[in-house]
Amino acid sequence: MTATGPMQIKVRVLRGDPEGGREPSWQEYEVPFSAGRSVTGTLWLINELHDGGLAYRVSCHRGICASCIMRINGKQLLACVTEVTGDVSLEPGIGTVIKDLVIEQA
Amino acid sequence: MLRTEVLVIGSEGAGARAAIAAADAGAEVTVVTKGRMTRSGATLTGAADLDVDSATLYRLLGRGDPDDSQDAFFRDMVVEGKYLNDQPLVEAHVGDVPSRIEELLGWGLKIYDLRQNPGHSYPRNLYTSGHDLVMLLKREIKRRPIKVVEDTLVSDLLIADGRVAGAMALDLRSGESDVIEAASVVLASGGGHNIYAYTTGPEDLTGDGQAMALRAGVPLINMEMTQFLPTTIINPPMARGNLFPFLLGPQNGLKYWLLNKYGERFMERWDPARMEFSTRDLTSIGIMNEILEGRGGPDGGVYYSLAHLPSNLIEDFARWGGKPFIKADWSAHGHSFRDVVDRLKAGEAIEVAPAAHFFMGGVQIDEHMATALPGLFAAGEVTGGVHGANRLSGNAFAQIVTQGTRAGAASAAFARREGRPPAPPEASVAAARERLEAPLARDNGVTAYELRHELQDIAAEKVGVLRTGEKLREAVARLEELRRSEMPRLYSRAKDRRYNREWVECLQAESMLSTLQTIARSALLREESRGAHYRRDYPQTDNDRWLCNTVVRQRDDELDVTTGPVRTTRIKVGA
Repeated sequence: MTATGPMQIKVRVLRGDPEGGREPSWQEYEVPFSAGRSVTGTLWLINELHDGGLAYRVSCHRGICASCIMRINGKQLLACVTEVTGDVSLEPGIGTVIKDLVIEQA
Repeated sequence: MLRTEVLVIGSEGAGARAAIAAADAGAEVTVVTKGRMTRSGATLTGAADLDVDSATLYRLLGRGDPDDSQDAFFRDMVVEGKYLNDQPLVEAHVGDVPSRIEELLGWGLKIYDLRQNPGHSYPRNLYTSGHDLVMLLKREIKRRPIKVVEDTLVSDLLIADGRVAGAMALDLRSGESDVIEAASVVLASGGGHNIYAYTTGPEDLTGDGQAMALRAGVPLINMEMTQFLPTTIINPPMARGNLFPFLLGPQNGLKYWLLNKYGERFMERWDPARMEFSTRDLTSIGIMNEILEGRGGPDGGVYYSLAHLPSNLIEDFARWGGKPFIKADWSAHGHSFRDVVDRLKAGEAIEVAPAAHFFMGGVQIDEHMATALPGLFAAGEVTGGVHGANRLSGNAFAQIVTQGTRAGAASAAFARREGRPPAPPEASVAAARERLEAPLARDNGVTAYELRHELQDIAAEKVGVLRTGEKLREAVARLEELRRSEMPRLYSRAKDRRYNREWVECLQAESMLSTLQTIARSALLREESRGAHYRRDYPQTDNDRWLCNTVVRQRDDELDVTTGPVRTTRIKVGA
């Protein structure tokens, strides 16, 4: 945290690309904190600021489509309606991983 | 390469219904979606009603009003659409919807309520849920030999011998592009909501279909007609654009007040009779006028208040109102609005602002859902004409099932009659592939995020609810500049081929830019106010000059904006 800038938080993401031959490994990103931002809003910011290739799904932003289901600090939750309140760790939800946080869903 | 008889682009409401109809007509059908079925698109998010004339409801359900008729429904649509509706499309809509409802009820659609919403002369609004509807359509798809291809973005239509011959598509999982050959195509890709940062729409809706149609030379009509939902959440950001306040107030009748920073109920200046229960267009205009003239709140909205109501009355609403969307614990869909309601009950106001909700304009079609390009049909929100300048509550769900069915049947008949087209010319395949690959191939330039921010700023400031010639001219000039100088520099910093979100954002930003250009150009051309289109410099409706469509075409990489006649087969203004 700098004297003038906004507070930064650490977002740890378990990334992997089984078909592309990349084993799962943790990557850490720093993003500015802002109250009331969701996990998907935070992932969008990581795409914009650090790595546009970080893969996750989101559609409705209202907790209906369940595309964004993932493990957030170990709990299986919908990322679009889960608020980021500080440092957070993200892993793919239960299922076969396609890439990063994108999983096969029925 | 994939080959199919009928290709449907878009897997939800209109697309799903089109696929079912095409399969029932005996065609081999492939549905392609950039998301996944029942997990993308706007239909799913509908906390909504489905319209049919009340006499049909009386016949089918023993509820409703037998005095209603298709003629009365037709008249309400045209009057509320400010006479800009394509009347043959309206006729198809009111004529077909009884069979479609009967069919949906037969398939097991659950009805939660029957109401009479603003603009309707009779109780026509069957309350169902978008989630129920898409699940039902998916089940019907699975009962038929329909191929569904998910995670696949269609980037361009391909043309051979003057007819549609298929599409270029990107498989997001593998990152490989490929041609899909088809004898006919149904475009059912929805609106372009994300052009506006404040939207009720899902992330996928970026005007892809509108942009593809433009590049294929197909005209779009009345693109200036964007419907805004007046009272959506500003904060917290994760619920931005959520229509929860709309569900309480306008939709379910809780007597809310809208206040400016002086505490004035400003809707008195716009609609003294109906006040906050005015139509969506007028309420949005009233709100934006306060914001623009500096009478809004610190978060950029106006105040939404229930302070005049007893707190236990508010609490009791959750038990009876807003079903099935608002639960007794004040959750709506996946969001909890307990905190918001506690603030309202304590006498605080929350800030709300209008959010882009529905595209009334779009691809021009006839009553068989045929576009100007032979073999290309379109259905649902990607099309223009049926709603005119204002859509009535419940008519989006009615539109997707009626138009989807017609488009599916017509595309199957076309494919049967005309047979397979020649393969798309190699040069056009190469050009489409080059356009698709370009952002990945470039090593520097402008990012999708930078372009998207600027587009959303232009949309909000210059092409939003309140418009002026001056601001629209600025928007048109800047957008043309962006198209000429920035779009060719659009690049993805991430270079993975597999599931590369940034690459997709580049393609979507291009679609958003093209679609926003058509909105700005059409809005500048229409020098009057009508329905959702409000010009501060031309606040009156001008039926002498402007009872016509705006029509946008792309010719030789130039946008051509003109006017065209509105087909008025049954009702004329004043008649």
